[in-house]
Amino acid sequence: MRPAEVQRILLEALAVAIVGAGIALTANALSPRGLALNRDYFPKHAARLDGPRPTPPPLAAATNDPIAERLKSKGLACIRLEETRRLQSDPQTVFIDARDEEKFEAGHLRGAYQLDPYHPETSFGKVLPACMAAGKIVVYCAGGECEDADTVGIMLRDAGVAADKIVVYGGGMDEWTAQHEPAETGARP
Amino acid sequence: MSDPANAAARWQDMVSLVTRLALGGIFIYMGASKTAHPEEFLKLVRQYDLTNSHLVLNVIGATLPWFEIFCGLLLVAGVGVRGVSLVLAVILAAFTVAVWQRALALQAARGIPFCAVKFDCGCGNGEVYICHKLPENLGLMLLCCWLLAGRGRAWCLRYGWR
Repeated sequence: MRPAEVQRILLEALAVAIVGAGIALTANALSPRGLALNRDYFPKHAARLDGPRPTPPPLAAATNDPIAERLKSKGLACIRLEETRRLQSDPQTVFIDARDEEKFEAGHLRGAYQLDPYHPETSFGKVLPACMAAGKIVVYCAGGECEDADTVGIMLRDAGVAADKIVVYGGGMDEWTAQHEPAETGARP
Repeated sequence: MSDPANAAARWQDMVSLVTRLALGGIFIYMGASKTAHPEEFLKLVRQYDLTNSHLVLNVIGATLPWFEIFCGLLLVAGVGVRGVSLVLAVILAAFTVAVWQRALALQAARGIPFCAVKFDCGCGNGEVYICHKLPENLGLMLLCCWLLAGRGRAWCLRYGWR
């Protein structure tokens, strides 16, 4: 290949990269599902210094659990299946499903609200008053490595919900369904 | 009787056309599957720990799928074929290194054989075994190299961009 030809291909590749990047940014901006470039979708900050720090329940503190450790680093408490099952019958507890609408409608914990951390504008206004009035708030997503429940927990805390009321069900919906626990389907009435 | 040189040229044209359509189609499909759920793709990009900046992470997550579609469309149409092929070869090489390193980390964490590592690499096909993904990427890079070599230029709207 001649040097002039190599140069021509390199310039062509550069043009493709620049034009392609411009078109990609424009397409993202125009897409209704596009990402907001300035938004931090995965907030990591720990509990606010001016608010009460949550007290992790004894089960999470007693085990060397990576999920509980991850939540602890974000100032969030982790609960497990037994505690979640018990709280399902507590009328003062609000449950929040941090998955998308499609997964929520396929199956969610009884009475749960849906709050997708990537599209909070659709339901945050409805969920926040319920959380303010609740005695306890259990947030969950798929479970395991899924961090969307963490994000929702932090969003609620940053919106003024008392940090010690918020807990994350670490096992999430995957564990809940695997244990054949009761679930509701469809949209919340 | 047909001229052997012409027959070879026709064969190269046909191979290049099929390569362009296949490669372009694959990138359009992979890009489109990511644009349908950009936040899912963003989560998968995040697992590679490429950056601590949420702005950089968002730019990667927001632009890469559309960029793949753009490159795929150029290949299918036959516009700037060699430039596009070079860009895609570079992107594929970077993806392959990232996926390979992620697989090594998962292998160490799970204590399983390398070829038993299966995860969603964010490539657009869901969960895949690493020992299938690496040869697949190598194959795609070879297709890019074929087009980069400039063999077969028929049925292109505008073979050279400039």
